[in-house]
Amino acid sequence: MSDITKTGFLNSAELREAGRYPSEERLAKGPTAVIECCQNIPCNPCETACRFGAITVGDPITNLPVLDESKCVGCGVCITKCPGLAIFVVDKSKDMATVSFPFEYLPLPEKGDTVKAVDRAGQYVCDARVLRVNNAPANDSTPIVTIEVPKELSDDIRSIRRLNLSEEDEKAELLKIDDWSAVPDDLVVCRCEEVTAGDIKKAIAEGAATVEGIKKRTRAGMGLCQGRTCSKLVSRILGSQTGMKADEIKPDTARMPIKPVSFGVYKE
Amino acid sequence: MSKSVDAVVIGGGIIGLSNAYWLAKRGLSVVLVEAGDLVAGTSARCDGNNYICDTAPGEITQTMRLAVSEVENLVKNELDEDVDWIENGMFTLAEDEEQFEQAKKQCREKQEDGVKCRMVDSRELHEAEPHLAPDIYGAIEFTEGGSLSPILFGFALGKKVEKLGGEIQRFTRVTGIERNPDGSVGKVLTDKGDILTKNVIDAAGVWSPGIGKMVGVDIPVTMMKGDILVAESDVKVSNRYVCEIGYNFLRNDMKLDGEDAVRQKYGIGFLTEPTGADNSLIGFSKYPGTDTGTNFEVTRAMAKRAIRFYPMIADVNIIRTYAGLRPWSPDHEPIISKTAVPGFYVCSGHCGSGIAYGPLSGKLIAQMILGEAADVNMDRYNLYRFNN
Amino acid sequence: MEKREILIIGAGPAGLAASIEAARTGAEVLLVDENDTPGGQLFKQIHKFFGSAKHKAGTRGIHIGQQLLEQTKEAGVEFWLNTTAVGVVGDRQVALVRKNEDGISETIVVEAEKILVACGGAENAVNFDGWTLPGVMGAGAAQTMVNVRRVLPGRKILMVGSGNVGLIVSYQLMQAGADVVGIVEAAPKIGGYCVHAGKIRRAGVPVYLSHTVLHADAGEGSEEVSSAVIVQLDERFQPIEGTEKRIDCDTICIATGLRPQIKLSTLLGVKNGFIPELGGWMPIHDENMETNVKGVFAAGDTAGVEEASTAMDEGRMAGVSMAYDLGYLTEEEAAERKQEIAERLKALRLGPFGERRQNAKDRIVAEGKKHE
Repeated sequence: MSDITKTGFLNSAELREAGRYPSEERLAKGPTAVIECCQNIPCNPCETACRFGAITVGDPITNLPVLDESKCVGCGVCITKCPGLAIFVVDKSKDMATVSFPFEYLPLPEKGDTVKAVDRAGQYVCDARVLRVNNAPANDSTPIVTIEVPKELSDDIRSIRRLNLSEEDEKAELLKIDDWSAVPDDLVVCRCEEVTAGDIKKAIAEGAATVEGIKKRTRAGMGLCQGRTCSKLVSRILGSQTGMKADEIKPDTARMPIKPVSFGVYKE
Repeated sequence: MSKSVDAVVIGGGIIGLSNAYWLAKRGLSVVLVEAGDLVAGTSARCDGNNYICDTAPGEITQTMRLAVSEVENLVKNELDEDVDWIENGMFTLAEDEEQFEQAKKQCREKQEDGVKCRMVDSRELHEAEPHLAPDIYGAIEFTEGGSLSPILFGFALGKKVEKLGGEIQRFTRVTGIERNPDGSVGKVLTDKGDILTKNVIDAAGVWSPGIGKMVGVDIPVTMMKGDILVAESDVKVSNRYVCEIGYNFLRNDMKLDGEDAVRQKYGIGFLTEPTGADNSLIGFSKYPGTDTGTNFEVTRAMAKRAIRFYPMIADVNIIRTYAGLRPWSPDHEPIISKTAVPGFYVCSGHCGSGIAYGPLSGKLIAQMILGEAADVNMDRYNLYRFNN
Repeated sequence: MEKREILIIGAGPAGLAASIEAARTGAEVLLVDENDTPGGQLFKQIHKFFGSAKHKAGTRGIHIGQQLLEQTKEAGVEFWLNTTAVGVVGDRQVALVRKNEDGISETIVVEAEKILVACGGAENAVNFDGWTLPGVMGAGAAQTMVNVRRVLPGRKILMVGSGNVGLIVSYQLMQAGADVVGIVEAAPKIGGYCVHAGKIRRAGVPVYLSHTVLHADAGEGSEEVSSAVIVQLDERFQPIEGTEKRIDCDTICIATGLRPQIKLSTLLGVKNGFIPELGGWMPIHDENMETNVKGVFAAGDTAGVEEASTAMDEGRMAGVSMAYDLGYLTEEEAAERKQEIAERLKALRLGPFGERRQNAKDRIVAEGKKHE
């Protein structure tokens, strides 16, 4: 089984293997919810959303939802209630299958449109016809789009390409760079005072052992933002140069004013 | 086996570093011991004024001139690092005609002492300082000396000390001082090991009394707090170091109320100093205090005072405030002295003039240890002068 | 100087929830926030929240925020917007800079018997060559632009970080009409919930695991980001030569975590503990959200970076504790209420993601208890 923390999803074969996919028998009878929630996160709105009692999470709420396919009528109310948008409805009872999925992008497709159906990785699978677009108030701005697709593709199709995308696909171009170093010394660390990684490394080499000591030697953190942006970066360089652990590197001293305030407003 | 050196300097601020510098320069083996990082105490929380402007006439002014020339010599000829030395003179402002008359008197006294200064009228003053409030009457311009960044000065001194062969032990806490049977200094005990030595210089600033106690020497140094506000660097407030003369006329015995009473209570006066990084430091205050958190009432009154002199600063941002603790002596003069314990020297109590006085103080201590004649009359700086 | 029974700094989920709990008991509550609208990050959250019905799961963050605002009105919470805490001037005295309706600001000191610091978190920066170019921004800023100010930060976005913030903001940028050209993640796995990852995978966004941004480049004759070069990392997080890829993008969003904002609590005298899972240094506190300084409380991201749902319940816990300490609740009432909230918080910290946070929270509370 693939690692969902690397892919972001399980495919239909993997879901089946894990016993988390409705049976072919049930899908052939009519619309059925497919719950693709695969991590034990504390969440259970799907359970209360189903008025047929077909979904059970139970206690603790980190349990994975379990579908009782005999009770599910495929109404799709759970689709809009799932905060993770991980529930779909598939129907293989007719010649062509239908897939219903949440679709929160504008513009919405319209009934009868031909759209590009995509799989869980966003890859194009086939063209598909839009059967329904349900954007009822009860959906709370999570429209449900239902498309018609060939049965054998219906387990993999989970969305459509957004309608406002241009055709050109972004292809990362491989580029060879011969010479580089991970943290170049001329890299700016403190933007306000324009202090570089090299300046900070030099200060550490000269004995600075605290964020405060680096600040005094380089001015890193003395500017308008008072270290808001760079203090963590400075801590990291200090740690990597000296081997100090993160909990040995104290934050810099807190001083008034926490945010800049003009003399005119500050005065008595 | 403990290490053995000619002298141990306790304290890594400007005073301690100046002492270590002079001892190393004069060929003595020296270790400077500092509980934290270098320049982490009062020297990091002060302004960098080295102008001769408000010292008492006569001997004190002459000593100050000598001190400033030592600083200048160090900065220009000895140190290898830039310390943001700025040499474009300073103004002491007179708010009205009455103060202007007082200023004239001060200017004359200084001129008699040979200090380079002159009176500047309102027109010339406002040309030089366009943001100054229109009603400011005039100023004394002092052109002898300059200003620097005390932090950069300290680190540069530290590097010089090491270059001269001196050793600096940071993050090392002195836990005691052992004396020989004859009462003289023998060994400095620290949390990182002992150091055998015949000479110990207590340059621990506001913490010097604690070191003195280790050998039974009572050092009457107390803490005199001062707050500083830092203005953002996008706006240029003044073109040079500027302070007010009026502060000197708020004497403790005057009965004042309202704002003036707050100024009197906390010793609040106006000064502004452009730094090498284009920020403006705004001062000052002077009152007993033992913590380095800034006082809200005081810093607010300081902000108000700054607006009185530079109205445009009302729209400039304060990005930070900090407070420093001046090592204060009962007569406002430093203690640069031998003590009843042979080999134990005190170099402390510089009362807010430590940056300017540091290098000279170090030189004087070195002269004492080497048994040479001092450049100045040392009675004035003797620890035991307060006993009479 | 103004005096109040309770001063709450930060009107995000924690501050709002705390103010409601406390004001409902009759306590006098002043809630301040530096922004011109309340809600903190809550009103940027246009997605539906996880949890159970008790946590208002399935409701969009923005709507939870609106409900909380209504409740603050009903409960009689006093609100100061455009009010920034700039420092601490004495024992439980906070200096605030408040801008009035005419745009005039003044400094006001408020002394309160109880203070809750709920000023949230700050985004961590990462610095690669070119990170100072226009077009590189925090993911939080990008989210504010699209969801609050209704401005697209760019058309082609490269997201750095695959935690929930990176995943959710990527999704929302696409909802707003931008294209996300990739998510770059230094770790070998996706940091956030896979249901969030699933949404953006379906939308065709590539996730580059074990990758980092090597540099961002401005286009010819331009001073803004026009592309980035990313590189693969080995198991020791060192770049693998020869794996560089150039990706065209006009915006790079940084979503590499948050840390608690501790300056105000530190100035109030609160000690900090170091808990890496919750963002690093944070105020130590007990299970009532009270810090080592009696009468000073912390909640929400300030007390360890988690989620809006936990922030709300931590806020409620602080609100109940402050009201009880002031005598507005009986021991039984307070105990019952605290028990309810504690159970909800516990439920939110279950599962593989939650347990880590529960464990981290237990450590900071143990630190806090040492100082009681």
